[in-house]
Amino acid sequence: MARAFPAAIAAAFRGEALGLAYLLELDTGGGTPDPLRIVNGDGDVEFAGSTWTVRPMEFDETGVAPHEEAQSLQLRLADADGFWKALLASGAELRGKRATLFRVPRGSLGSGSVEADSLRDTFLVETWERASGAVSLDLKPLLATLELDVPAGTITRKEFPGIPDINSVP
Amino acid sequence: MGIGNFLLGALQVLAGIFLTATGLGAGLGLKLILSGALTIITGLITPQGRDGFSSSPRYGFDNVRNTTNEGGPIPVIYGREMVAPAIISQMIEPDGLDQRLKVLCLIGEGTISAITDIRLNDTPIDEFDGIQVQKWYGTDPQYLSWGWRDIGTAYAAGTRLGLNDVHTHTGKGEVDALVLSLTFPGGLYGVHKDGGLAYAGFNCRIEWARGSNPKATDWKPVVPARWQQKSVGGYWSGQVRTTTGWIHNGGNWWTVAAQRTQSAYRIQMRVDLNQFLGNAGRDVFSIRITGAEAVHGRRTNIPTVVNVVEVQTELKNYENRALLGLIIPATAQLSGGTPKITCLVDGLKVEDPRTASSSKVWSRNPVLCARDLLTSERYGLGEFFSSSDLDEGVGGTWRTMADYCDVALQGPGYSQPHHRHQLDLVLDVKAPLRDWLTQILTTARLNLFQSDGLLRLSADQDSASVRAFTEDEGDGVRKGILAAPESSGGRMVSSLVDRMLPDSQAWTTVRARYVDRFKDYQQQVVEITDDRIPVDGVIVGGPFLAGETLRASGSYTIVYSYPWWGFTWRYTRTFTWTGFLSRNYETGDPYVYVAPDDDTAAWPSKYELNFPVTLTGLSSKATTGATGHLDEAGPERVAEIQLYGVTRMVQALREARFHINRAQLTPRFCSFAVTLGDLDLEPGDVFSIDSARLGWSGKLWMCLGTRYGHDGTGRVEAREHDPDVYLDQTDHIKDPVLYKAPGGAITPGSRSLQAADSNQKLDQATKPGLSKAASGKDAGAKAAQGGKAGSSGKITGRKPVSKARNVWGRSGRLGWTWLR
Repeated sequence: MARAFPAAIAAAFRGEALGLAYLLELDTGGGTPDPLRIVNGDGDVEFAGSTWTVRPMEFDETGVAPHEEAQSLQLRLADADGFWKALLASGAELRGKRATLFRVPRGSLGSGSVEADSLRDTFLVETWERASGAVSLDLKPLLATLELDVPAGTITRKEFPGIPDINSVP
Repeated sequence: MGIGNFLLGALQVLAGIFLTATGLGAGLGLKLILSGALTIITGLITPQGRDGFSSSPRYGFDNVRNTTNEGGPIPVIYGREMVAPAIISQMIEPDGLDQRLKVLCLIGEGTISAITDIRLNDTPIDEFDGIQVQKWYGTDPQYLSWGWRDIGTAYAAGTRLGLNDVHTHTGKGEVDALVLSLTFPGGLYGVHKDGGLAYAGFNCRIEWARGSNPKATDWKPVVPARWQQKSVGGYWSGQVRTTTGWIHNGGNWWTVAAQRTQSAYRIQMRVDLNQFLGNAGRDVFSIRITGAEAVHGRRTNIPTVVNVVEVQTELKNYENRALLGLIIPATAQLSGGTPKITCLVDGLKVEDPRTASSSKVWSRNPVLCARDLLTSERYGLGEFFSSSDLDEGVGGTWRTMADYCDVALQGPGYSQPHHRHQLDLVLDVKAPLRDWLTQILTTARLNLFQSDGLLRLSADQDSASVRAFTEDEGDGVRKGILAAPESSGGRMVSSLVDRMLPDSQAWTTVRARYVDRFKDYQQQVVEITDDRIPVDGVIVGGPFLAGETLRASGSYTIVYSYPWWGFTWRYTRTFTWTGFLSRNYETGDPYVYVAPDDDTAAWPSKYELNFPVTLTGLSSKATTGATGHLDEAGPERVAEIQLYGVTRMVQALREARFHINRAQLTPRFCSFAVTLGDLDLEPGDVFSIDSARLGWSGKLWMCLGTRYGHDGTGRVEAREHDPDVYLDQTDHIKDPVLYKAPGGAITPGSRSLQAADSNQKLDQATKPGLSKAASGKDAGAKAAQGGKAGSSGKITGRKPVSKARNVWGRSGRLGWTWLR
């Protein structure tokens, strides 16, 4: 059954509001701050009870996937002030951490809530790349983890020291 | 203005708003970027097989077997399944003058619900004497009793230990003790001069060395510090213990056995090396034994070193691991090698978000099992997913889909209410979670997708239309379905594109491999075949009324088939026939069913129509004198699907029927551009499309997925929808085509099961190959007579009788079966 879009999102899609803001919440894995909340725009914004710091970013589809496939995303972050360089140097481990992208109608900034006023996509940081003046993050969709093998538990001689050698069945 | 009522031009304006809204500087290369709102994990298109489970002890080629390989998975068991647990320790212990095998088996991850129906070599343990059973369900904590403290790893030897023969065992792992097992296959005895039996002793020398690669100078004799003889058959409490009561120090040679028996005689010698070193700790040790002949008179007794067991002595509790412990005495029933051990396991207890309780319960609900696998930090992907990532709040899709699976189907053909979807599955081979989830979700026709930050579920099921799209301009505004520039770059045209399922996927037969809980959990294959026969042209003489029974006259050939020395012999006779042709026939139907309309009709069990069939004297309730022609059906296209999570024949039949229904009834797909406001459609949503151009009025479609487009529009992918696909009829089938699967997985795309399984068909008189050969001859003969070439129709059974137009089956090899 079709679920209802958040009303503000639907209004934005209908063109009744002036566009969306893109907010990114990034788990920095022990960095500062953790999580990091940034917004793409002209200035810091308040949303869902948190302050989102403006930082230039852009992102692009890395591939047009068929409908049954999740899409990856490459996020490019300007680093003119050396913020990202310092973050990475501080020991922040971004790989494997969550990055959640929120699309929020600009009219909902300030007092909106995540549930009612945003569309979310959750990713995992696969790797990062640092260049002069910019950092890029390769994000894979959360569902890409479904490629991991299960069951995760493994028979080891450490836990089961009595495992017979393959040639030793008495 | 309603959502979706936009021209593309309006969307281009909207896209411009996005561009502005991103606020990116030109120096960063401004682009419109949007990620996918919906991503689907399981497709709604075609059934899939895979070969990734061929190494599975449960589903692999060797069928159920006990395996223990380091690096293998700790199995995860959902629902109820027959398993062959992995042996994690086995020790042969003396039991008086007899022996007993002590085996500790790993069932899988805990906490499971029950272990029942334990079998040794496929025989219930109740039929053996003296077997002791202990079960641990994998709780945390759990405690193993002291008697299970020895963990043995046996290494086969097979060395004949004659005079000065040496068997050396180089240490494999850290141990506390080593146990040497010797056997005298012909007994141990001497012969007096008068011919009577005498005692004979066996002498040997045992040496040990630290490490796995000792030098010659490292070997030291095992010299006991003290001896304390216990009763015969017991161990010695010193550092060298044997199962005999005879040990004499003769230098470094020991008489370790003395006996006068002509039966096979076994002894064990246990060297507690940890004690030998003053309990200095566990280490890697090597050991070697040198034999001396046990001679008495003219009799020479030479033993064989059967194996060396490395033993660790500790109390491991294996928390969270479900275990089965067996102590099996060597008897005439069981001796020799380790028996095959199987048991029936009620698998993991899982959480049910529909209940207020957080306690776990055993369940066969596929949704609850999928949820458990996704969120388990121990054996699933709990590192990445938690319950907060699932749309499982009140009214959430995980709850509604769990309820959907639990719906009790009932009605004609069901002897009792019957849960729509159940899951019984053993995950015993490491494979991508996507593949295991596909097995689970396919069991219940579910789709998993990510939307708005949450994992959601939908089912491929019938439901009411939630939206109406149209590409008709009417008032000059194209509604719902957006226009796009022609590929040539010219005028704007509808973005709606429809396409057909490839002919190769228009299945006429679906074979489903499953595990049958009523057949000792053996793998089986059921087959559902389209029973329709196309009408060549029209049957004139109507109109026929809805639900009419069509009678016909024509000729048919009875085919007698019987097996003889590995062949199926066919004997045919041709008769003129008058009888039921098809019930529920309506004027204009392109197909008829050659089947009776009641269960008692005395039709031959196997027969073939002689195509092309000219029908004369057709009659129905309302019409007489109708005539027409029937044509042979097209080529058979077989799909094979794996339903390892299904253990009920009726559920396997239902799923096979579902797939064939879908291939036959909904072969059309479409995609079209929409406004972003329509992207709230989710997989499984049903909607309608009006198109004067295509002649569609309220035509139903099911959403397969949506995605954002580069141009700021959305795009919807959909498949034709027909409620008849989902009727879940009971498929009254007597003697369904049933294969006893040889085990193993089906290679993707392989259609080789026909050959592999044709030899194992049960109750199938005609092998496919023979049938095709014969039909080819028939076709040639008919072609010579001016008939249409091709295979002859095989009308050898009955069509299901539940409802008109919803049961498709062309081949007859079907009949009635018990529904369970």
